Amino acid sequence: MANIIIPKPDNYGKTRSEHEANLRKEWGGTITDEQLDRLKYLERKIKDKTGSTKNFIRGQDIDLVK
Amino acid sequence: MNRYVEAVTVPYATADLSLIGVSNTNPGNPNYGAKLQYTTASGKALTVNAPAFHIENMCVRAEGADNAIHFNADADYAAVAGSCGPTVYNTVIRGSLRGIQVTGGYAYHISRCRFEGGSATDSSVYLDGSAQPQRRGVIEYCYFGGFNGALNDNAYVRILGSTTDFLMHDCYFGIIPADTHFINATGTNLGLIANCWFDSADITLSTGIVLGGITLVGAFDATMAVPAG
Repeated sequence: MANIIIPKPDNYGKTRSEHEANLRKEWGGTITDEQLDRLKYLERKIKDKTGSTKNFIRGQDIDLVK
Repeated sequence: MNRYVEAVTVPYATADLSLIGVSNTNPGNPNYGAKLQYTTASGKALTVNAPAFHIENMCVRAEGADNAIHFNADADYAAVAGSCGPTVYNTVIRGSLRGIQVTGGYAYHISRCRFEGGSATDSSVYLDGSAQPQRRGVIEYCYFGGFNGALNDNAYVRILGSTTDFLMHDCYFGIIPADTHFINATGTNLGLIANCWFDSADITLSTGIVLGGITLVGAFDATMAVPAG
């Protein structure tokens, strides 16, 4: 049995697009370029609406952006 | 392609974690991405005891396992609450035994996943509300099929009531399993199955889909008609 080890929060960035940028440098990616565009759009909208610069958006919501 | 042969348990006091597969080739197809496989000793690939767990872009093997993924719960969610708000997205569940099991719980969300069973002795999705009632689960945009051309033995989706506010929509079901059920719901259930497609010449409610109290609208077989009871 193995337990998931929780690293320090924000290890790869404060938003998923920052995570993605860092992951692409080091490993590979979690989403396609098109999904990344949608993700950045969502993060911009959240920032405009709430002022929050820290969030993590899940795949379901990324693909809801048309 | 990385394969991790581990039986992973997510402990209770770690809510809102994510497990997201990273691929250096094709993040859109988790069949060739990060893969989690059962261990012979445990028989499970992933047991989730923490609420609000999220899985994305993974391939989880259900061969030789009791479950590929088990969102678990105890009687009052006091020490085990994996079935409270879990989400599974763009994930492949592949293999011959039970795919995802949700025990009790609230508001699970399974979206855009592929279930590849094949000569299965159990269901791809096993929703168990028999000990604790299950509320507000959603399964959407999923594909249920076999593996390497083999027929499933049991229903792709098995629901043990009681459940309420269950919603399944826009799912596609491959060739009908050997037990003649695509979906088999028993017990006391309330919910909706809408706009799903079934690979069958002409299914009926008495065999192809056992509703167990759930409402069916917009379900299509080869005759493009809602099946007759």
